[in-house]
Amino acid sequence: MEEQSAPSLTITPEMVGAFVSEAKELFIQIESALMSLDTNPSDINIVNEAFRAVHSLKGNAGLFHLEQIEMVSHAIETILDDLRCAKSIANVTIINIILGAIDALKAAVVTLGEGGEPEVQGYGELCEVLKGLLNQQNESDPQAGEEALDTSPLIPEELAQDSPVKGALQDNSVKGSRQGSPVKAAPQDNSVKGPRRDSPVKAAPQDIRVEIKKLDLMINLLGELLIADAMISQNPKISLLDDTNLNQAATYLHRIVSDLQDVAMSVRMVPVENLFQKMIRISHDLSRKGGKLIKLMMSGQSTELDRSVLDKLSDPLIHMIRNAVDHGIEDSDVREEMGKDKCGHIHLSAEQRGNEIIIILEDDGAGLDKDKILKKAIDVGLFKETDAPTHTDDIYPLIFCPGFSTAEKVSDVSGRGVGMDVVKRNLESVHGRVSISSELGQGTRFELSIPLTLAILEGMLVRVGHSKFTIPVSSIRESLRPDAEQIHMRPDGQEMIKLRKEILPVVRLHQKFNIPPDKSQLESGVILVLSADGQHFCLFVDEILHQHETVIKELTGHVAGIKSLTGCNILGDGQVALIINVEGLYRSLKEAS
Amino acid sequence: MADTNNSTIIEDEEEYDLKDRYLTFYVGREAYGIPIKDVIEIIGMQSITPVPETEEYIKGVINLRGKVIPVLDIRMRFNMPSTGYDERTCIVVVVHGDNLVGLVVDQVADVIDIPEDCIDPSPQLDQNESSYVDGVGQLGDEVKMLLSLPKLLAKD
Repeated sequence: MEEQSAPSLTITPEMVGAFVSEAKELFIQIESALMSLDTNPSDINIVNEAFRAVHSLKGNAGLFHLEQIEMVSHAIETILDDLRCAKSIANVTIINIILGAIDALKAAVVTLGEGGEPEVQGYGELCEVLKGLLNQQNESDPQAGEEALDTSPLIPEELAQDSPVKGALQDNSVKGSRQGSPVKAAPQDNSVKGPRRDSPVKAAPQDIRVEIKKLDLMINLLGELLIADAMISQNPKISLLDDTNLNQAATYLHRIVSDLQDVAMSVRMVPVENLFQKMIRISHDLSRKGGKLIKLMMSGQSTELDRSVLDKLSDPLIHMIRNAVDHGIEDSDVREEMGKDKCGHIHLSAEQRGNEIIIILEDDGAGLDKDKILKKAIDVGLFKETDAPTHTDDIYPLIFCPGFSTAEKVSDVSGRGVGMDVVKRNLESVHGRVSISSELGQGTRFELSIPLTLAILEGMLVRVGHSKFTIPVSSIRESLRPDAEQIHMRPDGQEMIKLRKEILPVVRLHQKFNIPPDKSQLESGVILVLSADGQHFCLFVDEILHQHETVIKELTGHVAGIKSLTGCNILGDGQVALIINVEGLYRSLKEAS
Repeated sequence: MADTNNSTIIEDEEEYDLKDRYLTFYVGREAYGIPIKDVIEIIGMQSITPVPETEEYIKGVINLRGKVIPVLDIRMRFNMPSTGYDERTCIVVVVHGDNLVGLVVDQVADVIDIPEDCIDPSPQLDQNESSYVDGVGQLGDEVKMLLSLPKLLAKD
């Protein structure tokens, strides 16, 4: 912004960091506006939105004396301004050129963020192209532009579930009037009518931008507070004191701590919206490159997820969409032959189920060919032909193995040459799971289940001998003390419990973890019925202590990577309890048998 | 958090002095040394939560002021018979990469200077790499075996 030019300003690394993170958000806004423009080329509101974002970017760049970024933004802004003043109408060419320019700017900003020189790649050329576009825009007949748009291969469309709640929590670091950043922007044009369905509601001005590190620190301290609270309320000496006042105070303290926890957690939650928006761009690029017709539909964008978890989902989603376009969706002539709509459909949705977020990516493409996958797995040496699994549940996940299927291709979407193995790896790092179902010729469905947050867990504390373990409440179906007639034993020694109509296998935790137990008779201890991978099994422990909310701490170094454990937590008395990874435990038992 | 702050201050003030300084301790009859710059603190024996499905010499994890760190038993790492813990048993907390690790030792001796010219390479008769000893320091009649933390803490 011209009026903001302050030559004597000292630029600190923090300021550069803030510029980079704001620029990244602006890019998302610009891209998402351009994508909507693809479908609604004459919607002035969308153009305005893109214009405002580009304008802010230009202003910020000017403030930091980033001349190239400023100039390119300026050129884009001029083009958008022409669109805004209805001098011309957006078409695919214009949109693609602007997207290209945005990519160049993005790369420059990333370089800046990494401490490099923010040079815009092919700067001179880019300026020429943009200028040329502007001239051409002024000459050309707007109608021609509109025609060109009709052949657009991508029709992003949001489903009805789309939320209006895109405001305040759009990001942990919600845009706000940061000191020094140009806040002007075109007046919010309320007088213009027309559908504004796709445009995000602008954030309220009271929002402030907070570094995620500070939030993490706050959550950590909160965790300590939870522990300290437990140390006091569970202190045996205090529980002996029969003092109404003290008890009331302790209850009050506990309530405040737990309210504080709710608030602190909500601060970290962001809607999946931004992540999904990114996918529109990805599928747009992919469909253009692959020459396939693709319609990306989305629902549940307002579903919220912990920011740090969300960040981990970006790469998996990109690769799953890439996989769907490359290997799932057929060419349009093939689709027509098969009697399908010539345009391939990809549906991305998010919803909350209990303590988990479920993200589903579904396509109506060719589906997974289990014979092909098996052959490939044998070719790359994952196992011998004789050891090949037979059930699809075991075959489909093979596509997530490192080096599988896409190893020979360098991904031009992520540019890092990684394959679908990133899906599994990233999901595991946030304790998520993925399940695949597919019908040959009909399509493929990936279902990702991700815990709402990584930081805090609702757990059941159980005891085996001297050891204490926390079991996530979300995995516990019920608990019981079995009668002798419910207990059966197979000839191989596997114990089973008959529960109503079900026969469930029993796992003795003391045997699995090699701990001397207090109780060796099933009927004298406690049975927890746990669910993992859609199956149920019984876990035998000495006793249930209590339910607690707890901060998950990582097990690092020499105790890292134990499949049956998620991490650990610190109890009220300062002792460490291990948190059981129910899925991991179940799988390790299955592998062992 | 406080511990790292303190250690930073010490490093700033005494960077030169730290160079040849070693913390010495006993495991069995022998005296061992580790560079003092890697040592965060020494704590008394405390309750250790065993972690299943780990190597035997990994005793488990402890809560160090809100940080959960693994604890290794040096005795067991050296394949020496366990003698049980007594009031002299200590946990030496050291930095290993980005993580902290506790080492159970029989008894902590003291912090001493071993100048570089008093250190001989560990005698090597065969290709046995599992000695964990980088060099042998001699001060008068005393022999201190200087341990290599990377070797000692490497996962098998």
